[in-house]
Amino acid sequence: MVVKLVFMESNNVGTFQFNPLLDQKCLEELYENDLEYVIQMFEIYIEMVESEILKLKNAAESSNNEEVRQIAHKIKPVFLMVGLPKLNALAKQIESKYNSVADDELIRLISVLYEKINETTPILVSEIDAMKSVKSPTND
Amino acid sequence: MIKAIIVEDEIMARKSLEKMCTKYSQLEVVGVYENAEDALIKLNADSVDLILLDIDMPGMSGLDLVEKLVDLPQVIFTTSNTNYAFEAYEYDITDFLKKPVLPSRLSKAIHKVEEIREKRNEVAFSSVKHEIYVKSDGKYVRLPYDDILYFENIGDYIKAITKKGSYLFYDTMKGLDSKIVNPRFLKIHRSYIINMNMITDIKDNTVVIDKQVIPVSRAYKNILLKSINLI
Repeated sequence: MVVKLVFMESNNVGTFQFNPLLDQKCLEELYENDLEYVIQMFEIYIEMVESEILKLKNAAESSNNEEVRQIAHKIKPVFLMVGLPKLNALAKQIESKYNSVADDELIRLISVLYEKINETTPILVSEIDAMKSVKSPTND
Repeated sequence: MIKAIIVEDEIMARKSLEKMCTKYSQLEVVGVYENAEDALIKLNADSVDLILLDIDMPGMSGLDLVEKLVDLPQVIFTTSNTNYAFEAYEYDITDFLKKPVLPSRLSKAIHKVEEIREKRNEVAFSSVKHEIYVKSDGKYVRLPYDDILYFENIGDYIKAITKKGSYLFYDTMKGLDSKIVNPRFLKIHRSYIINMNMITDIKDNTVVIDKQVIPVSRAYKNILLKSINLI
């Protein structure tokens, strides 16, 4: 269990310590001082990411390389928006290699991405709860 | 107010731009579109000052959209692929932002938009103060205010009589009256707007300009007399 240090004087992202698996600096730069905005973005991500990765898998399995490129391109910046630069790098790799590697290698890369998404989504869920509790401490 | 639209197929990028735009009081987002096809319909119906435009979208791309616009507003391209930068700048765009868009970077881009807008307004205002352009014989003719003697209404057209010649163009007296932003021009009859600086004399219900006698309506005579330095 990760212990987090939370300062409760404001909604400032700079004062909210995210899980160390998330890129604090990246999140601070993107959301400045607005926790509500971070929550909104995390929630949208959780809602859409699974369907996008499934579309990516299906496209790769049916050797639709152009669709693989398009989906990887589309979701690539999304990972940065939730503080996951390693997943961004993986999506970038898929986007750039969609036409130059064998289909099974592409499918392997997509499977790795899928696993990483599954590992990190619960972290984002708990971050949302933590941010909500900072935003409305009287509800505790 | 800068009227802007957002065109972005990816939901998080779209929401993020919408959210960031609310921080600028000088910016009004008048439309948010998930694809370029819907945005094109809007742009053909209404004019906007700025498009925040994703490049890589399924179907029509951001570059395709720009290509189709006759009247190009300011454009800020957003993309996660910087390889498009070179092609994008071919279109005289205002800025190019890498996704995810940082608020600090968007702020700079909006500042650029304002600077360009101000410069264009200055040029337009300077033109409005000194001249008008009329479409005559299939070309736009520049008429400096100092050259214009008077305008005469002829059916559905207006004839501009100037020191250098006459030019016939399609407009109404009401339309023309609202476009000339200069106090020296005065409507003195339903068919005449004159340049007061060109009057030779005023007699009864007429004025003489360049030896031409122009009627003054009773309704406009008082306005005319109040507009001159009568001793």
